[in-house]
Amino acid sequence: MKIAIIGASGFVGLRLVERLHLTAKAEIVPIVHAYRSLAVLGRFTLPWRVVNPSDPAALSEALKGCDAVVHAALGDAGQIVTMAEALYPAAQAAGVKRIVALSSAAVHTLTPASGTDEATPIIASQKSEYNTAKAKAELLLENARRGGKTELVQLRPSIIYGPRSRLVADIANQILSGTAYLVDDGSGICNAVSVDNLIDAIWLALTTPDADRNTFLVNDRDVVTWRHFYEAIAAGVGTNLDGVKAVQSPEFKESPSEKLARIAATKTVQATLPFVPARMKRLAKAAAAAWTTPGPGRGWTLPEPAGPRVTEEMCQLQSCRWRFPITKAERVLGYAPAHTFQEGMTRTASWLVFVGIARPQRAGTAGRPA
Amino acid sequence: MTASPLPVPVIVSGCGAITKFFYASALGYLESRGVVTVAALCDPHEGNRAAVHAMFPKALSLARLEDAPLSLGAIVVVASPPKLHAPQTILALERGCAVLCEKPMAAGIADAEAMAAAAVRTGRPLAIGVYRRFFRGAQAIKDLITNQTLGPVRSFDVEEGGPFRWEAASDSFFKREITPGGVLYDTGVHTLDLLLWWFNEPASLEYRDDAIGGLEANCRLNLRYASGFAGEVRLSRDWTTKNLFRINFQKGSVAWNVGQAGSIALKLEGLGSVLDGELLPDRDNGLTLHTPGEGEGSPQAFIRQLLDIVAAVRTGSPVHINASEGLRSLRLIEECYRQRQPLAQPWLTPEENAGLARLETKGVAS
Repeated sequence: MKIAIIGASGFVGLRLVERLHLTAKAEIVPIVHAYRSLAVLGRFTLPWRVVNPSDPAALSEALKGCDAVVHAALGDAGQIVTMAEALYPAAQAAGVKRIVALSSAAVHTLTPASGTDEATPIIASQKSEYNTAKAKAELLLENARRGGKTELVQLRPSIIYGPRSRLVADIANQILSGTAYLVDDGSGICNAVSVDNLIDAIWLALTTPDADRNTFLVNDRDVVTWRHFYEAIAAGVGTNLDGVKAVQSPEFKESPSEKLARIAATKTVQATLPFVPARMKRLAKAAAAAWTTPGPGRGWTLPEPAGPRVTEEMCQLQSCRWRFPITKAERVLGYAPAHTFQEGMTRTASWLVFVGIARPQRAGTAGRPA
Repeated sequence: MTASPLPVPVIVSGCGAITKFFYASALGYLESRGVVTVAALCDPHEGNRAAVHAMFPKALSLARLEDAPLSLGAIVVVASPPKLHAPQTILALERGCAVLCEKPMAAGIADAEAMAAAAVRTGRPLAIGVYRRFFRGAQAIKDLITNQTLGPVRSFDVEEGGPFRWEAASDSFFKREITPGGVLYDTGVHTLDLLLWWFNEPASLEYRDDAIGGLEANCRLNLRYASGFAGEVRLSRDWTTKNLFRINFQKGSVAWNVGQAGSIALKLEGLGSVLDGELLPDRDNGLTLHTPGEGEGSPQAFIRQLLDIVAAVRTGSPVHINASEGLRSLRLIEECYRQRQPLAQPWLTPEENAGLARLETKGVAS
């Protein structure tokens, strides 16, 4: 089978290339959006293609000759939607038999109601632009499938961890720098899925005949809380949770400058910006920057270690009380997560050492003087 | 009253990213000071030339270096793809020009040796653009090692690189059949050049990388020196590193962040604090109060590199980094690739490792 992987330089895409290429399970055609994205993919000699995945004609050309396509590309909210718009017509025009698209469990919000499963309607209007875009992309693809011939399977993972996980790296660095935090003592459910289990699910989604027109939530077998998740990462960097702050989820309000930045990023404002004189723009920026909360006089403070930067998204993730079921994936795909949480985290920890985030102490060498 | 010397004509061969983001600004500054005049911009791609030509509208815009006014007293900056370095450098030297050749010096040792031979044959200056030797931080470390201010070196470790962000215009940079190496060949040229400058050639080495048929994105190099110390180098174009050189001496240690060309951190034996700050010129062999703005960073080092070759043209002074020096890092890189072993990627499953071993046996992954 010849499989195109859109977003082959990303976290999931790159691991998928590694797995499928090294196990010789399939012929791989990596697809990336820019030449610079080949820097890590260039480890392999593969017939990569460089195209804008939001351009249906270019994407269709890149997909020619492929039996299936896995869509694992990342992007901002706008790109998530435009890539979904381009994907189905491009794949169909290229004669691709099946699309496997990586959606996200965030289409159910980050704090899903108890009982949420694949039959629960997704929420296409959320506060988070990313979550909204993922939901819209899912609906776009579903709708396209109704009028098309190319088969479609969508997967909804939630917290993907493994080698090259930005989330894991960020948490590891926060733990090491004393800026990590746990909401409600980490008692929330972490819907964790090892990237290797996800790849097994992708393979099943590619190859299971009856999977067409289905969407699947994908998790590890183990039920994991956020405390477990942080403990595993802390162990991976050779420490524990002693320095992790316990926080209660605060009420999130936009600061005036954040509000201005959000308004400035809207399409309407962006469209009118070219007509605003440069001097006006400079004055507005200066006013926004100066709009800060008053504090003590300059210089009259002691140096203090940086505290945690509590974000709304992380608070919501850690407040999750529902574990997404994998019963549908088990029943239809035959999904049976082969990698335990412990195995997945052991592999992830080995990667943290590989990239130098966790570095084994060696005798006779001093660290950076600090 | 002494008349100012005439600006030295400069011809730039290759108007890609390095020229757009580095040489154009440095040359623009030197042209504004009457030190150089940019006479010609050469690149087969008109789009590349146009972007730089906008900064130097009086310069000739040419597709081929051969058509440029190559003459005695001119400087040619060779910033084209590495496989063109040798033919373009040799052409320029033979026409009487001085050459500043961007790193890596050449696509291979044979080419680099031919360039060095051409410089000797023609008697014209050939400088290699490993410009970090002009960083004050790098020079300070050189001084500490040479003068043994903190005693002899005990060990060192280097972490360098990060996700690849250059706007590559094609995939040629990532293809083994076109570009001879990955992160070691690209970032590593600078790293190894400094290590060679500071410590000389290692007595032995162990090199591992993660290439699987293509070009490495991560590599590890363990170096051991005749005087008994050892060091480790980790390079990546995959993941953010600390971009840090740490050298441990008998009586202290020094840390230098590559992004802070003119600063170092020092831990001295017997001192309870760490000294972390900017390096400034020592005017009177003592502690003098300095005026603000005397610190120098990466752009200043780039300008000083150009001034070095200008001085060579005007006064006949030797260039700071000549062809023999440029060859040293290329030779070390070639030796690394010759001794290459696969770098363990401990997250791979047993099935993947078996596949990797099969590819290694077939010679695909080396």
